[in-house]
Amino acid sequence: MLNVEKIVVSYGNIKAVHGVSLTVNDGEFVVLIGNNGAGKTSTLKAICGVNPPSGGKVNLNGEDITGKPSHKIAAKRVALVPEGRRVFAGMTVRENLDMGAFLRRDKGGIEKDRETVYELFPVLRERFRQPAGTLSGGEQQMLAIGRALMAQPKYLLLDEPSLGLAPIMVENIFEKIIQINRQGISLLMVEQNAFLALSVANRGYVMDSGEIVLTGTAQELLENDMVKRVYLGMDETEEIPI
Amino acid sequence: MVWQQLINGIMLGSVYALIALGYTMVYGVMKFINFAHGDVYMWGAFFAMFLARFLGGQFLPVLILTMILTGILGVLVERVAYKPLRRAPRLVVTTSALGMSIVLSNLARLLIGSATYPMPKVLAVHDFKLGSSAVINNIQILVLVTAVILMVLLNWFVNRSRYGRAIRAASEDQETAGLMGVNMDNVVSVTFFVGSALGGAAGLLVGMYYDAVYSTMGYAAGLKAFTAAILGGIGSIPGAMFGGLLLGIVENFAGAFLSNYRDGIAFLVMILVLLFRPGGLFNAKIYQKRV
Repeated sequence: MLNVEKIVVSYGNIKAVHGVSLTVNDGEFVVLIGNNGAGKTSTLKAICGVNPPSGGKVNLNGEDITGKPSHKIAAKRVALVPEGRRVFAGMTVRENLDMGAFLRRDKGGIEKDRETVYELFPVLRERFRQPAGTLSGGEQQMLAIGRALMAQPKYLLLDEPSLGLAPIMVENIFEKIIQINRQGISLLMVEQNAFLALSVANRGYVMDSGEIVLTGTAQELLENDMVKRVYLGMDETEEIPI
Repeated sequence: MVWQQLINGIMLGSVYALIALGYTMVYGVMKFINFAHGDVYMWGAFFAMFLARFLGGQFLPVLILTMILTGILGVLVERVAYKPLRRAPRLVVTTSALGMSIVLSNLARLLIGSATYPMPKVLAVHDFKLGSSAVINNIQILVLVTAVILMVLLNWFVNRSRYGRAIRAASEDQETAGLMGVNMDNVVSVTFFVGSALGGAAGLLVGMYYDAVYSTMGYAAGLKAFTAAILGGIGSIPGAMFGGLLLGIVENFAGAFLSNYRDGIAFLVMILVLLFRPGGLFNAKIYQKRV
């Protein structure tokens, strides 16, 4: 279980996150939705040790990992697919995947997992010698996810995987994300596209101005009036279009 | 005449390239110019001189031990002068590097002396005639072969090894490399060790070739190698290799045909490159795959 308790994240004098608590149970698919600047990315970065929180606690299966450097948290099998993909552009697709497995020494296992990633995203196999910078946005997103999977994560944190992608590509990637969750990897996903996020997740949190303002099962949130109005852009009278 | 200058230029250039790699690797990972690198190279030459005195004319053991000692010196310099400034603006770190440069060269004067010392002979000099006009001796061949082998090894290390990949990843995006489990402290130490070890090897080779080691030898060589790194595109490993060779050749031809202006010509080339191709000839902001 990944348990975040009242974390505070500040950049200088500006508080981006004040007192956010959330939980991801084993095998669960949890989404964090909210507007731009609500503090979603800061929350993920605080969990991963990129921007250590200035207050609160992050617990992983009962172990306190608050404020540990990111390379130590990576060793605890918590992986982040960062916003904007952040693939190593000058390195080949295959080298990017190998970077994901940086902490592993089991050559056979790495080989096997690389095959698994290639099966999940066949286009990566076709392009394995290509520099990652030459891939399309969608392919880079696939690579970023594949790279994170190479670390054999128990908890996979995804930051805006749909950002800047064509609708058909978004659909494709979300299908794969669901598959990853079905394999038993717990997911915490930040997503601006609230409808899409809630239609695939088990539970959700709604964030606004650095705080959690609402939480519930994905279904409850989809039916919530406030969520409908603010995040799904619907009138209360309208039905959810499927 | 032309062939002779080309041979001399390639030889000198291969040494510039070895030193330039230290600048470019550190810049790639830490984004500052390690101005103390020239003095680390000078210390490498002194390490080599003492080792050669102890071990006699055994080239390979002297080379390997020189590289290890110089590598350790580079790591120590980083720990003392740069690590405490990891989060400081780059200008501050660069200033610290300038300070470290002065400390290292003065330390050499204090501990060893300000004279010019001969390098114990590792082998007797033989000249070989190439055609009718050019001459190459076995020391030149040894310098060139050693430099090329070291660059091939470095290329293997950077492109094929686990830590080499981590260095390239960190030079592109430190934050994301950290998410992959890369410990930046280790990457920085490995980078300084490898870059300084190559500088140490260059110190031995230059000391051997000119049969002279002195406490201020790091200044001019460091500046030239820095120019070579800029020429190729700072941060690019193949760029440093290419830039070193080019600078060595240009300088030798300028020296042969325009006598006293060789240094001026070398830096003029740098200014022209910066004006017309600021990213360097390889135009690289990051480590590139293969040479």
